[in-house]
Amino acid sequence: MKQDGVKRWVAVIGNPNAGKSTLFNALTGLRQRVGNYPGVTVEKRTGTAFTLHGEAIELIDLPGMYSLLPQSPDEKIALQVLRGESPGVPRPDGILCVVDASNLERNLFLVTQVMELGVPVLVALNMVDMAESRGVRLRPQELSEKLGIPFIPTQAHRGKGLVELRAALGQTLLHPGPRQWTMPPPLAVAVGQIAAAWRDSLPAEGRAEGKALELLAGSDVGPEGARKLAHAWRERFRKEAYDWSAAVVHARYEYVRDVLGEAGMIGGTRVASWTDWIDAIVLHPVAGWGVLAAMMVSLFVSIFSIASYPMEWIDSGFTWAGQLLESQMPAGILRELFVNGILAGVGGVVIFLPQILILFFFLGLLEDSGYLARAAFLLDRVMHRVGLSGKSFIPLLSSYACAIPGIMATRTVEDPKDRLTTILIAPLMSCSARIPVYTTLIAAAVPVALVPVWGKAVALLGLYALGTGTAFFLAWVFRKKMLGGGSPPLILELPPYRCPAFQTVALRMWERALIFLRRAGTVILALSILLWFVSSFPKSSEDESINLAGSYAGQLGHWMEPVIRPLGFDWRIGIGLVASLAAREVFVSTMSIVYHVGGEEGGLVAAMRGAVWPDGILIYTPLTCLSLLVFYVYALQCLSTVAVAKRETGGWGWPAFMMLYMTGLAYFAAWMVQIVGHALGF
Amino acid sequence: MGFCENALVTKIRGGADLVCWVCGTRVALSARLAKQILVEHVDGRS
Repeated sequence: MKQDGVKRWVAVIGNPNAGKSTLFNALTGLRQRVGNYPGVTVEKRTGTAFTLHGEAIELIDLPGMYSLLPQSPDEKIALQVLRGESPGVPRPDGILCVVDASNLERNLFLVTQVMELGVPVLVALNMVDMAESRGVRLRPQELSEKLGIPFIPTQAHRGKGLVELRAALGQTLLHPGPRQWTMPPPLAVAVGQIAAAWRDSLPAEGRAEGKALELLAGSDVGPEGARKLAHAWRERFRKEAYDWSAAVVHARYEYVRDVLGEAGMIGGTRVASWTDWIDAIVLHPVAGWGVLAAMMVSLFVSIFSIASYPMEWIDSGFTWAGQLLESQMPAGILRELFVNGILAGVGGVVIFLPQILILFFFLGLLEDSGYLARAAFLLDRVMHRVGLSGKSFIPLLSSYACAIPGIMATRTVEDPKDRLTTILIAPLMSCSARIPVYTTLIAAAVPVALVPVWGKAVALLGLYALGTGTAFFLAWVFRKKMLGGGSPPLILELPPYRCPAFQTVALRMWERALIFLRRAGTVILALSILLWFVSSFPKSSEDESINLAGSYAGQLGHWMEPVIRPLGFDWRIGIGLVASLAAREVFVSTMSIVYHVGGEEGGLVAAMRGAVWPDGILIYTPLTCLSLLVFYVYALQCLSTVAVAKRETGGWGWPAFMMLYMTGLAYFAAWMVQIVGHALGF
Repeated sequence: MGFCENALVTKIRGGADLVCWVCGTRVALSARLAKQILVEHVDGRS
């Protein structure tokens, strides 16, 4: 605690795959909060950790980065936080660097940069077990003496070293000493002059040098004299073809190697490991694709098979609740609101929670095990053909869960045109919100008795493939024909395979479940009440179907029916399409309300199968279900996605374009399904 | 990522894309990028 009683803030930073998030989760447990940095949509993860004396410290988990020279928006945000320049986020009182002990040479590069920020630093020497298994002789005490900052050995995934780390966090952290690496002579002169122009307003010499390097790198934060000097030196180095930044990198690495050598820690020669043996298959040009396809098929089959049991329990629970309310409450508007509005609406969405959790579970396993990086590398060859790099794969894969974090994840894509293209196509990846729509319509189109579970999984996989294939095609169109330029070459770290940290995966699932349930309890609940109202009033008849047709919603649906009739949709589906603009899964709850299936188990599918046009022809024929499915594959029906796209692209232009092209594509594709289907005699 | 002057690079997999070992890390490079990195063959070290 600081002297004024305010909690201390400690920023947690480290290379990707150093175990930073695992350590953060181990220190904070469930005392975490996920929000956004002010003005941007980068996820801000904070949590409360306790020292051995019980002092509460706020930890802020920053995005993984290799260097403090930011290349991507994520890294720029992290640097702003470290410098205390992020609005609404206090300047950290300390920095906890999480370092992979089996890879000290590269990880300490970042530590040398962090030490120049003028903030006390503490290092968690993580994954010591892996380092020792590779023959690295760890001497944290010697490292502490040479660098002048504490090094605490930890094994975050096993919870080891946390006591010592909490004890270290509880002590007064010291500022690192002056720079110890040797700056190349030409650069030393430049930095000396720029730092001298700045030194008067900064307390420590090391900080002035760090600021001078930032100005040379192009920062515009600083006194005018220093900025002019930096500009002049930058131009001089450019004319002399002197790559000063490469010289700095080289000098830092030389220093790190000297430190490790003097500490007797250079060792751990590379030997073939089971990671290499697995990679021989996973990265094979033929077998690798087979493994990827098998992973994806397993994921989709699991969504249908494993999730069916908890889904039945949830459905039974809501059915029981509906029947209880009908038996206990007197007939009237209030009972209708609860049974046909709230239970039907919210229950229709919450039932899909198990499927969404399974999706996040598998994504978490794939990421934590180290496989995702391999998949990105494999897909780079394909994505390069459409003008994207393999780094776009991870945001796109995240979009299968939800386009909102997927679009936010594009901050790791350095090239702005790649990033924009990825944002434009991300909503085409069938997100988890589409799962309720897909599974309901597939069930309505194809009776259970006729098609086994794997058949439905194939149908679901086909929808995902349709969205993905279209996304890649449109990426080619946008990248090659609209935005121009080529995609940057791929360089990617392949972490060693490891057993996933189930605590991390479980925490992530828990967070997503809370987000989903919060949305169900707020947005969807509010929409369900609103939908019940507009579909129930004005009351014109005791007959439910006549009353619905005359309601506000019914009138809107009838008004738009001529536009959607060519797609095989009736006015009830029209109500669903309009309602699901807010959130896709609302389509299911809307249909539940429209067909009054609040208290009936498995009633919506049955109601849809029995729904007819005025002339008695079935509405939900397999062709119409297919048309509606294709519409939902392509349509942008999530205002939250539009809002996030607006923030990430800096205006309404691109989100409006996204809305237009996806709506047009959805309408055209659904219409084509009807035309081709009828031509083939369906 | 560790690709700097005097860095020791060990090739693990070749082909269309490259997997190599540098600064204690396994790094994947696209062929386009690999062609831009000048290396000198070193015997007997890993």
